[in-house]
Amino acid sequence: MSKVNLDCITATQRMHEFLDNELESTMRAAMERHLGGCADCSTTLAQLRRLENAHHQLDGQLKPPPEAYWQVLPQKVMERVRASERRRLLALPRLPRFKSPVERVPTANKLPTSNMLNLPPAVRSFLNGTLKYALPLAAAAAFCFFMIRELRRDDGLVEKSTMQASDSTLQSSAAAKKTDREAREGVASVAQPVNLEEQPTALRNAPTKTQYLPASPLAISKEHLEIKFDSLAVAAKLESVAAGGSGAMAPHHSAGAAASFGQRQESTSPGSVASFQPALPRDSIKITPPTQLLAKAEDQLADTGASRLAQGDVAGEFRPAAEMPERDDKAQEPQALRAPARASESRASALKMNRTAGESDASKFSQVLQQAQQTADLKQREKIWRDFLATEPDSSSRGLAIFHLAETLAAASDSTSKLDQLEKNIAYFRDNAAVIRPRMGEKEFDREVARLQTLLAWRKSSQKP
Amino acid sequence: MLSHSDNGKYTAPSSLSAANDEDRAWIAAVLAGERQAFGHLVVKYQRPLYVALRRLVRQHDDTDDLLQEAFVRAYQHLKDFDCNRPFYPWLHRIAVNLAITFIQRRGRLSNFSKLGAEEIFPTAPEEDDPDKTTERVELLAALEKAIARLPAEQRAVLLLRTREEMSYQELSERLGIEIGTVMSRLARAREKLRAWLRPYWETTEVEKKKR
Repeated sequence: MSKVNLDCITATQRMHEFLDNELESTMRAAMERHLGGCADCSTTLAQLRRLENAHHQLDGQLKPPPEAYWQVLPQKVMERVRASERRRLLALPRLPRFKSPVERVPTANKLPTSNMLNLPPAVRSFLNGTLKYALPLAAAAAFCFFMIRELRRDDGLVEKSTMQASDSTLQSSAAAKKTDREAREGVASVAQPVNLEEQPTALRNAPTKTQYLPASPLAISKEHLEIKFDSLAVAAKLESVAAGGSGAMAPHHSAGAAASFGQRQESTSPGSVASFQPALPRDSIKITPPTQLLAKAEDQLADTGASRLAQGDVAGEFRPAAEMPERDDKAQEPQALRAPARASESRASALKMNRTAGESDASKFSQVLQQAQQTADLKQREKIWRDFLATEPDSSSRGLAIFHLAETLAAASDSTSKLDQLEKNIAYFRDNAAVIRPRMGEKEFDREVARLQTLLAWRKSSQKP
Repeated sequence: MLSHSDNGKYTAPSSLSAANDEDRAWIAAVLAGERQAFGHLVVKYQRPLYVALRRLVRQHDDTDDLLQEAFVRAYQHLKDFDCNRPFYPWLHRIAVNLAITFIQRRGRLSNFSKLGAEEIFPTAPEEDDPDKTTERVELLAALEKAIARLPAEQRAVLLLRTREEMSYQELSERLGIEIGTVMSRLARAREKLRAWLRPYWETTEVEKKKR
């Protein structure tokens, strides 16, 4: 066996193993040979052995406890045992800890502690570990879930009952806006009658009031109003059929009609539109297209004067029923649905013819309107409107054409220096006030006329020598 | 004084390993529901267990607490004990594990290291030469304070090696560390003690030369 020669560094490193008898035989022999020839390493080893002896002597110097201690210790141990059993019975939660000393002891037949119910180890570990933290976490999660749900319920979502209560008011405002806009632009879609026979499915499938609930009270759409009106038309048609009247009435798509209906509905309980029972006498209900109503209103103007129409008694424009003048003893009737007191079959056929004519007038008017809007030249625009009025004397959109012509003349007055032209323009405003004023607005009409007069006076004064 | 063998190696009394029948009877009584029978086991093994713990923990109050806890743990896990094996080694192992945990958690015993020799050894051993006694007491007190100054992990390895005479493999398993770590911690602890105690040894040697 080859001999191993150690140096002092290696010997110092392996000195403790040599002291503890942990070296293998070969290395131990080499260490003994080195220690025999090295004084420093021998001194180090001697000091380490002296230290070991001091440890043993140190234990002997420790003062033992008094004898009374040994008498009391068993009682203290048994008290602690009873306390641990009480704690186990109460099943107090145990704090997480490191591995217990007993668990490190390798013994046979090792059984888990605190197993009074004889539960399987997996179940016990789950109860003592995971469940202890899972229950509080689950309770916190459930609390957060319900709180968030309650907050979302109050934030942004409108209750159905709230929507039903304010639905009529919302219809009024939305209808007023719509009518105003359409009156200015002459949107033909307002006057688009729908034949029940042609589109029965759309009306049949009209949703009830409770089904259509927009998220925002201000977001009432045109479709919503039209759908409501369709329901109304269905109800009215059913009424007329039941009364034995003609089934060829065209439903009225005017927003004003729907708004009027909506306002009337304020007095009724919220519910399905299909259950609406009109308060009007059955024989007095006539649904007329707004264009035809306008033409009729103009006829009445010629017959009876401008007093009534000057106050806005024109179909297609919403006015609260309370503000409308009493035309006859049926003042409580909605304006949009107001019709002659007597109905006849001839009237129904005339309405049918008017409906067809109204469709062509509206389309032509929209073409002229588009043409005029695309023209930047005011003179050319004036010519377009004058040609339309000349070629279409019986058009249902005559009033709108007059209004647009008046606006064109007012704009042209700013740039014209001809006094006679200014005077003609002012005269045009006054002669057609009954038509222009309701579309422009009373205050706006008066302001415009005053402006033109002031402009005329100023031009006159400036041209004086 | 705490009992120890002549060569410094502590061994359990021979009676502790031979009374298996008596221990078995008491254990059976405890498992049958007779709780007071466990008191007999406490009376029988409290002194040697106290010595073992005191050598590791160094202070009486800590030793008392760990001793009671060791017995309570043994009672709670009595169902796990194999009655065919001796009871004391099993009990001793529980106590040493508790002591290891205690030492590792305790850290440096800074307060203890400030105590004087008379406070550590209030009753000096009786010897013929009072000077030698004084020197020895001072040396031992210095050693006690030096042990208290050691880091917890080095103190645990050193005490288990010197008091329990555990092998490197046993220390590695009980402490959950590598054998190389055991050797390095033990070497560092001894070198520190040797350095701290060198003035006492050098003084003693100088005094010897003078004489």
